[in-house]
Amino acid sequence: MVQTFRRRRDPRIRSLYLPWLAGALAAGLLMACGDDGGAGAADTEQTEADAAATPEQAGAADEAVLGTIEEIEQLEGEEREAALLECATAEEPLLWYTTLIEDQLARPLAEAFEERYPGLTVEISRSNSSGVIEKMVTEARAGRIESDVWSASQVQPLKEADLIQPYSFPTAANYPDDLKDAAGTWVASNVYVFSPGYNTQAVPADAVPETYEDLLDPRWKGRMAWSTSSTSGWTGFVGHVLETMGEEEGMAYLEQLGQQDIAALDVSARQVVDQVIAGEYDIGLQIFNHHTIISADVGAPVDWIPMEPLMVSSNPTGITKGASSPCAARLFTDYQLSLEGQELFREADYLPAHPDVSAKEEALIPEDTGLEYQVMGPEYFDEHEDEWNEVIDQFFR
Amino acid sequence: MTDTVPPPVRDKYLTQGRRKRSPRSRRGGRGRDFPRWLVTLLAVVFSVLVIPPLVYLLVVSATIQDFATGAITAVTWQNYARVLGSSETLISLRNSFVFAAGSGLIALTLGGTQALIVERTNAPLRQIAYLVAVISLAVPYVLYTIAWVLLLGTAGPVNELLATIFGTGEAPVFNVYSLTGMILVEGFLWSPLSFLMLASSFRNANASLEEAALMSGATLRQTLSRITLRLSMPAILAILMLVFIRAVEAFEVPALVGLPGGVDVLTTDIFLSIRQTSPPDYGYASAFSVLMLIVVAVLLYFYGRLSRSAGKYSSITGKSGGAKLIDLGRWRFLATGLLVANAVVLLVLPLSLLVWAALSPFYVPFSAEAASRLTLMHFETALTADQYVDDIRNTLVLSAGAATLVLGFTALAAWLAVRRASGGRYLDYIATTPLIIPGIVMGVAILSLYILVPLPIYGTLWILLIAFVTRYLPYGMRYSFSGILQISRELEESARVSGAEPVTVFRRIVAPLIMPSLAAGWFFVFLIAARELTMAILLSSAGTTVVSVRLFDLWQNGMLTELAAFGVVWSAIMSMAAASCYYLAKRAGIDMY
Repeated sequence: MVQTFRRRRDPRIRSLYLPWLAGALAAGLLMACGDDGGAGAADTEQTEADAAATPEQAGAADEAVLGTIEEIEQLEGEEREAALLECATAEEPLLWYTTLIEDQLARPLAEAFEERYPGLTVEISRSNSSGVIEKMVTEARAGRIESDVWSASQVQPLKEADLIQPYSFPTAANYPDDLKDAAGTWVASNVYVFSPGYNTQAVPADAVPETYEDLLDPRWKGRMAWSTSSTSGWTGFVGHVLETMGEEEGMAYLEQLGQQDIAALDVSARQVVDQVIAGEYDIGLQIFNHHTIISADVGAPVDWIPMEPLMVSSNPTGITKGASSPCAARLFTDYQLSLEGQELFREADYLPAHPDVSAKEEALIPEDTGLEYQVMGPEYFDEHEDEWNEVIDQFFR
Repeated sequence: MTDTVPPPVRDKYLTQGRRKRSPRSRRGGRGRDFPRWLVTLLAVVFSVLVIPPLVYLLVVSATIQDFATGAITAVTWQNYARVLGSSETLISLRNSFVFAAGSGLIALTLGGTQALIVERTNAPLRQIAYLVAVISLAVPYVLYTIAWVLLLGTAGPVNELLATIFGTGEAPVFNVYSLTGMILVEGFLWSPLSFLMLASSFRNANASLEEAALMSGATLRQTLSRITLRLSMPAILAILMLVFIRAVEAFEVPALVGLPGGVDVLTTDIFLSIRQTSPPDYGYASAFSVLMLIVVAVLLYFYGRLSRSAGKYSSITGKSGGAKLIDLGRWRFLATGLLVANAVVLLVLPLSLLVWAALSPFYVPFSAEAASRLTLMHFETALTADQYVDDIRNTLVLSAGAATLVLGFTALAAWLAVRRASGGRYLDYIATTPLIIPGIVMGVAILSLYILVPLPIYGTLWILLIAFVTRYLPYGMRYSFSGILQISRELEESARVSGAEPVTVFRRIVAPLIMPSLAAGWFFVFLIAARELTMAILLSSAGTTVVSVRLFDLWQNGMLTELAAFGVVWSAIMSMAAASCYYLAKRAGIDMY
């Protein structure tokens, strides 16, 4: 797919710029290095050919589509799937804003979906949760809804900006209640268990910290890192400590932890694990425990610490209101939450939300091992995020 | 053709449009013969590009807006009060200054030493310095910075080496995530450019003065310090200042090296107020941007004065004889050794580390055990995944488009300005204004402007193109100006006398003659646009990702090994392009920098 100067929703604009751009590009290339001109022209021809091949379905009458979707939603099973597929085939490629790590899960999932429904295309844009939200809100403000399907650990900002399309999520009908929203705004595609992880070469087995108190050992001063992203980062950690230890004890603990010079990395928790593997830090806090298993499987010197109580949270996903590919968005969400899609989560060593799909590594799920844990729902998080960020300002900046 | 003189190193177009009139241009009429529509058209284009973002930046910084609609709800100084009332602002300001001064000194020392060896001595193999410089200019800064973080990191090879020398303590010997680390990496990043610019200054200086000193019995050291360096002092100071300003505006190193160590500078403060704050705090970011704009404008003012005062040295730089090289004797091998060491440190080490990372299934420091796991899978992904192909295409289209528009506009504008068409001064003035706008500020201004304006370009490459063209207009002016200044007016006058219209004169006489300067300028803008991260990171979206933004995202997302593979592939493409264009430019007798 050529994405260059195209507005996603209006292919007509391309015809305005193409001849002009082709000229500019060819002239430019010729001007700098004469013998590159041929290549430039070839590239442009290809772009033009591609533009010509794009069907002229300028903005396919939105109301008709919405009408169709309402009808389709009345259907069930294969009939419904076929109708969605037919409608989705005429749409633009699906754009998925996700927090799932691309090479581990997002890409395999998209590829499996494309294989299952030939002719459909999924484009992935991966960011941290705050990045997904920032992009969606900014785009909405600019009057351009880019994403079709989203996943983010916070849903409140999206609700406030009226960016969520309520949906019935038929394939998630038997998911447990705490993994979905009664109003149909979101369903969790998977569950996260947060814990510290450590470099097994840098930290001898007898020195591995087992309790939150152990993290205060001067030995770890300057040797720990966490992400600045919300749930999977310092905010989540601070919130979890305050929730499980209580206000007073928690604050006293965090004040001491603040003396430990924890490196706050402006990256995903996955990158924190990578930095721990590379030996940059001994311990990564508030990382996803399945990430350590994925890396350890290919030989990386890393493991997670079942530090009780563990923090458990879910990964909400849903459909964007005003999505330009509403049928594909529904089809993809259904697929992601179906048995088949959830198997891919399992295969990737993620923790599936589907009650009938277990985790590949059962030790990762506290429910199955009897480890003590505390669930942090997205609503609870949203409610307290601001206070926790103040605590971070106080102790960790 | 007389147009083989390189663009002046002292960049007088950094002086915000204040220029002495040359006697020759005063002689011609007041430019009544130039088509008004052309001047008007360019003035409108430039004004539309430059003025709205600045005005809107001021508006946002002094108001409170409703986030959902963007409507202004109150006029207030609150944003400025928040910026100025915070002690963190002062710390960031101080950090920015220390960071910029330190990296300027390092870049100057490294670049200057090389330039001296390459242009003034007979050290063997000295051309490798050019190869290193040209290749490193093709590598995106974000990729370099990542490589340096890995090299100098806690578990990196440098610290391992230091630990074996100084004994292992609890803490790493050298902590890269510090102001010192930032200065070092930024200094490395700028040393190739400072080398290229100083080399051209040394090359064009008059060597007969050095010869005279040597013949009068001065030692080599005395000659270097009293003659060579002193003659180049204006150029040296100008480059120091230039790197200083660029480092104040730098984003890559502060984001990747500074943030993990808790060292904030002006640019990262602005970035975080948009990216780490939900909803994005445009008011604060804009107020902060205005502050930064003022800082850079003040710096540029002094830079302009510095460049102008350099004028008194210029009487001895005009004549450029075939410079006689200084015979270093046996020391020449040491000089070559220094160049090789520089090549190893600046190019070989970071690139090898990236190749190592690209071949590893996951990144760990080099070891024999890890070497047994190497795989080509990341290269396979980097070469086949649609998104990477799209990124490369986006980057090439955008950079080529920006370079073409910039040079096209500025060639005309510079011609009208030099030939004193009425309104030409305005064109010059407005086209050089973006110099005071740091990339991150331009990004903030354009983002907040086009989110509000009902022009559907957000999310397309157009918004990036507008930002790039605006930002690089001054660079285009610099190359175009130096090209036009070299053309004698008589050529155009005889064409006019023979009945040619002004536009025809430009097309048939001026454009062909300045083509070498334009080509050099085109490629310079193309290269810096292809590396640009600060504006692109704020303005690109899912379908319009460019290479540098992709590399930054991959870093944040924890896909270092795939990042390394993609980075190596891209650097190879750009190095080849840079090297071949540099070679062609050299053959045509143009200095690219």
